[in-house]
Amino acid sequence: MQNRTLFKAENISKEYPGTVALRGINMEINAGEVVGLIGENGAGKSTLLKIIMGIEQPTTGRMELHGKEYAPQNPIHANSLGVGMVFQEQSLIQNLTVGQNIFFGQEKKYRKFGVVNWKRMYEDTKQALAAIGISNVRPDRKVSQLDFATRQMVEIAKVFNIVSNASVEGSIILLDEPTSVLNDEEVKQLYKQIDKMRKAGNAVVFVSHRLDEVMEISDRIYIFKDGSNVGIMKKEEANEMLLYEKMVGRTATGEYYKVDRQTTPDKEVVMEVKNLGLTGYFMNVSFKLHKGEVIGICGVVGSGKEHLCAVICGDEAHTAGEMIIKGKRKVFSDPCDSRKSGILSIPKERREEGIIGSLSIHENICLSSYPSVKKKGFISKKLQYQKALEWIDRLGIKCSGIKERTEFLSGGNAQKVVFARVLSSGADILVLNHPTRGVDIGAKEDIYGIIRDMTAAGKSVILLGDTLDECIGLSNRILVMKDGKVTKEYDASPSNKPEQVDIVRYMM
Amino acid sequence: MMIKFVKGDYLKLNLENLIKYLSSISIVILIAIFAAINANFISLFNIKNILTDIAPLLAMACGVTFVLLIGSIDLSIGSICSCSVVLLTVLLQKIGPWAYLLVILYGVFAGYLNGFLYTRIKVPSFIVTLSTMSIWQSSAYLLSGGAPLPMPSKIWPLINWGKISFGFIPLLFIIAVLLMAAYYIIQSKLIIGKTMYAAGANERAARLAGLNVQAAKVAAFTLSGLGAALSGIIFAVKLKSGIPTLGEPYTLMAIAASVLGGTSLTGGKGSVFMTILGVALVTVIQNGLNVAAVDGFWQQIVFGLLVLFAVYISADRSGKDLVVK
Repeated sequence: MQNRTLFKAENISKEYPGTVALRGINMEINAGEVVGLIGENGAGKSTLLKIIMGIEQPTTGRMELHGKEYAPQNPIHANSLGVGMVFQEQSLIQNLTVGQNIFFGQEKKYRKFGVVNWKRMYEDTKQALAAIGISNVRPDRKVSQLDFATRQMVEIAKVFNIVSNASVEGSIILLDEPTSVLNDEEVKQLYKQIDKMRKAGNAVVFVSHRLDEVMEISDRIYIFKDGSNVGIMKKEEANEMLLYEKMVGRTATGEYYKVDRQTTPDKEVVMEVKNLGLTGYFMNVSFKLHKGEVIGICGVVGSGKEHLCAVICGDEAHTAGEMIIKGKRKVFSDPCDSRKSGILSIPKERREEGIIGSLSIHENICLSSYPSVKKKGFISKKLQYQKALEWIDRLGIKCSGIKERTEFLSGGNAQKVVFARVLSSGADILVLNHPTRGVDIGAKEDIYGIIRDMTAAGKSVILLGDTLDECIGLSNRILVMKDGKVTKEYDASPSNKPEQVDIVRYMM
Repeated sequence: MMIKFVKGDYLKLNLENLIKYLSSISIVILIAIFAAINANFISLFNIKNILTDIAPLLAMACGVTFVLLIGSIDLSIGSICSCSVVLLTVLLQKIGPWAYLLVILYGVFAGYLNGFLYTRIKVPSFIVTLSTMSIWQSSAYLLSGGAPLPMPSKIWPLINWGKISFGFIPLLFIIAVLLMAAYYIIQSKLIIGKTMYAAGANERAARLAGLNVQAAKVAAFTLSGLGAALSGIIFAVKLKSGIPTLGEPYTLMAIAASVLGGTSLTGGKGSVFMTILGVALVTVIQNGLNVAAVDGFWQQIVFGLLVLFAVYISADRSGKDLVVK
């Protein structure tokens, strides 16, 4: 049974407009094997899983399953061939019961004269849950009444059940960050199930950002970086340092992040937060932001950094502590208020939060600063055009004209439009939430240059980096967050940059 | 005007262009057809008639265009109009010319109330305005005693100005056009107008850009209420009667006119300026059907189908469609 190849991927690439998500990935998965998959955010892990599940189609390359051509058109198709996936974001329907979720789409089996026999379905549900070792969940409970960890287990039971129904020898289960909401006990339970699956001749692909977990459960580990496979390691060869080195590469070169242009911040404090908190997300966060300073905030998803960011830019009002902007205490409940205090953000989801796709470039650039393009109380088209042309030139935005709809721009150029909007507004405290997310290398470098220009001009920045490397490279100071608290503060002046490995220790 | 073609977008762009010119083309075709049926259709007398008919609908449709721009809907405009008609009839007898100001204030209040309820209680706009529609409709019945209120001859001097016209252009039409011009300035020259476009197209991004989305929403409903009240005034002056059911059919016609003028029901696209074409189209159809002696009840069926058709060709069917907020 061992070493029989279950799944094979050859030269898989995926291109999106403006970026390349995967480059020539080769992968082999044997029956009875757990394959770990690690990489930074945006390294292409999720894209590969989506291609294997048929959610996305590869640009080039082919896949094989059981030695036969494998080209799933959608997840249901993939399921029927014996490939299932537990998604990072939970996909259960909350107002249905556990049983209804597990057998969602298979109600036909339980139907008689058009009526579903729930009793029979719930009996099967018990078996499906028992198959992964769960006995304390009632099949008729609504999912919304379960805690997150239990939901995760139900989700796993659902997927195990679907693929085991595929009646093929050896199925593949993809687990995308399955442990992020589980506690230690539950993680152990999950490992047991994975082990069971493995012994039964199935294969599991395990994606996690916790390196220790990946090392514990996986037989082999694939390491992804920037869409390429940069290494395959056997369990015995791997150690945390080695994996990390491969994962981040040796790109921490000062040149890339223009560290030589890093400015020393002013003494002047533009913003101070004291014991800031938001119920349920973070607490006791204190720091001082100086003029011309970049503070990087590091942490895994769920560490509270996203909500800290939302509070500072006014998207949510804080519930504890205080925020002092230029000497005045403030509580923001709308980004409109924070804009008036000189704070603006570059949001994470560019298409959904950053640009207004159906409006032209010049309208997008002027969104945050309409008062500055007024003439005698009315907005002047001419001033709008002038401003847009000036910023298109300054930031090198490639477009066919200022009236082009912003949705037609590539990721990097659209992001530059967002930068143009924020910079031209005169805001002097900028919250950059993943400013280089999904933009290509060239545009990334441009954006790093823009950030250096900003700080040189006396603007202050709070940065949530797309990668840890980026955060270290750009920041003057780094706050590390874990479980809603600041666990460590690092000085990151050019000669004194902390190591990623050290930071990771406080993140996880 | 620059249009960048993207693979697979041809069909959508063609439909978009179609709706853009649809009103102008249809008007020309319809005028030709109706003129062929009855030569009186293009007489100066009938043109003046049509312009007088356009006036109240234009005021109402311009207002509701703002609400559509932010991606919401206002179903209460017809009953705000009815209530304004009755209110004006009653107040003119009691306080004279100040009645006009009070009715306009009433419209502003009714619109603001919609906006306030929509943004504060966070109930979908069609529920809010469906409720206020019922409230204002009943208020109109209560005020009028359930039957049309005639305007006594002693207050005729206060409403006779409605008959003034410059050549074949009636003053009532000019008033409606002035309202449209004012709304056009709000839409394209004031921050609040720009915010409406931004919020309708992508509310989240507009909010994070620091625009005052809540204020823009309230403003859109307020302007819609004002337009509806003004249309009520125009109707009352034109018909010299306080009919409590008058505005009802015009809710649908105003929305139809706005959509035919190219305003998207999903928000973010459209213009008050284009709404006049939609209004002209709807009015020409109505007037033409009258001239061709089509039964009034049949006319409502025609307008119902017209709205469906206009929405069908203007809707973006790429997925997240028809989210009326």
